[in-house]
Amino acid sequence: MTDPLVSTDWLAERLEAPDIRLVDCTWFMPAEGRDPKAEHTAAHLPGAVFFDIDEISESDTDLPHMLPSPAKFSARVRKLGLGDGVRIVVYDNNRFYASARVWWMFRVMGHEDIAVLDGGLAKWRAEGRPVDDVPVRPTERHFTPRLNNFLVRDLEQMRANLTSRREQVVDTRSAARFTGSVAEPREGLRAGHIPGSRNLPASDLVTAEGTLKDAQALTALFAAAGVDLDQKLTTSCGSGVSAAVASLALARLGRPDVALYDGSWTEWGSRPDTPVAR
Amino acid sequence: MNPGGSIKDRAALAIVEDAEARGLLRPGGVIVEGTAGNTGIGLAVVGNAKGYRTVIVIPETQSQEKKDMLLAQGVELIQVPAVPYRDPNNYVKYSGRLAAELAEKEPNGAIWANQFDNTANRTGHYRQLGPEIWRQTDGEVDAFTCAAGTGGTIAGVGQYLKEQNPKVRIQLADPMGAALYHFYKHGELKAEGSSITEGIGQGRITANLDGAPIDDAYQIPDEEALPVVFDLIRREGLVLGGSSGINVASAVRLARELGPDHTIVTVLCDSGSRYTSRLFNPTFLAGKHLPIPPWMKPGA
Repeated sequence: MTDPLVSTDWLAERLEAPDIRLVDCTWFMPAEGRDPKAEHTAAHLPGAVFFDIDEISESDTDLPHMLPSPAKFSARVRKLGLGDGVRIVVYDNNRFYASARVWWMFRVMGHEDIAVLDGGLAKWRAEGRPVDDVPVRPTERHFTPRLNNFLVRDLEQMRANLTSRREQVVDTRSAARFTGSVAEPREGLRAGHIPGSRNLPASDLVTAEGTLKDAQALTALFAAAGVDLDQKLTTSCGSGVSAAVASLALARLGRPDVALYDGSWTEWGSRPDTPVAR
Repeated sequence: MNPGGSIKDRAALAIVEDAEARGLLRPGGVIVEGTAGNTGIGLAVVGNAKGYRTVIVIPETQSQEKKDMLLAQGVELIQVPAVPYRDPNNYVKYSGRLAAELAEKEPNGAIWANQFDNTANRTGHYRQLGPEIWRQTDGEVDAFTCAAGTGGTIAGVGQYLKEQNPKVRIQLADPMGAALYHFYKHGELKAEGSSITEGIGQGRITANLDGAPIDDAYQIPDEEALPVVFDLIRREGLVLGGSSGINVASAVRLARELGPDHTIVTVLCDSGSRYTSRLFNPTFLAGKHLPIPPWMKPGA
């Protein structure tokens, strides 16, 4: 079993490795009012490029940061120097928002040689490791997309799953949003969850220091949420960012094959014709 | 059943039966082909079974295993120097001339099988393999993928499946060193890299490929296909040739692209027994910086 995360120690020993590319994927909820791009410019891991999930996304939709076409994805990442044959290490400064999603995106596009920095920028800095503000000018590198649609679910597949019940759905929104006891932060969405789905908030998967919890703790959490690790699984959340944290946790538990419902609640909850449980 | 051990038995049968139907070949006649591979074996199988003489022209650089197999089948073997296709003495051109000469003299006829540009090859797959796939999947096939040597398989199967259901996706699997990937992706015949696979990989649009309903193409490097060949041995018990590795690797890529709930078909072209000196030779593979079967690695 290959763990999808690498430690700050691991990375510190390999900062000079010629085949490793560092990618800052920091993303904040709109309400937080922070500018991750500006923060990246001010302080990033040496050589790290910035990956903007809102920009490298499908533009022909009302849904936020949806997976782009393979052509758009490869055009964007090649400009970032993220191409065939490189080992990518993604990180962020917001508890796996959105390094986990970018980890998932690259794997959907067929690039498996990618890992997430456990603890991200916060842990790196807390340990007194180097960051800099030197502008990064990557050399373009060809990226061959090899789409893996086993890792993605769309609305119709989620609808079909309501009757087939072939896949268990893990919803990583807060318990209050899951049960529908609070209103959704995005306007116009119904409250509640996809019938039959299980709730395990993404925040529960992460330690106070911002690292992913260990396998034993994660196993217990998934069990307590009623998630059967022997079943086919799909993760879902508000807009496909925190769901990827659960996908990352499941990969740590030896389940790298978990799909993600890209439209998530922003899609499901905005439609008049989808069943909603409360 | 492919008694000659490869999918080329089907092409050989189709070519010979087409010649019979057109009155070009009568019992005692001669089949001529310039081939270094499975088609010669397939033609010999068909020729022997139907009572024709088989003459195979090969480049003298071919492996002894191949020559021995053809000789064991009682084929008349003509070895010529290995020269490029543009040279009039290239083995394919030589075989064409020889067939024309024999056709003049032989009372029972002589044909040049000409597998690349004889569309009886494609028609054979249209009549046989296409319907087989349609039947065996109960019409639920979503995609078919395979590599092209002559192009007969993908063109014939593709045409048949498209006629049953235009939505069936026909995906070419191109090895490195072949020019078709760039042709179907960008409209230009252009090759890059190289491959140790044999019998597939084409640099031109053969008559069999002309007009083939190919929707899309993948380029499959040996680094991707060889681990598939090794996996098929360890997990399925099947020892296959490199072209099957390209085909299955392509089917895997296509499966990932299409996602769950799709039926994808490919062909396993031949067994691996003829490729022991290359595909299953750790020294050879290491020399090319290619993956080695894990159980053959030094110290394994």
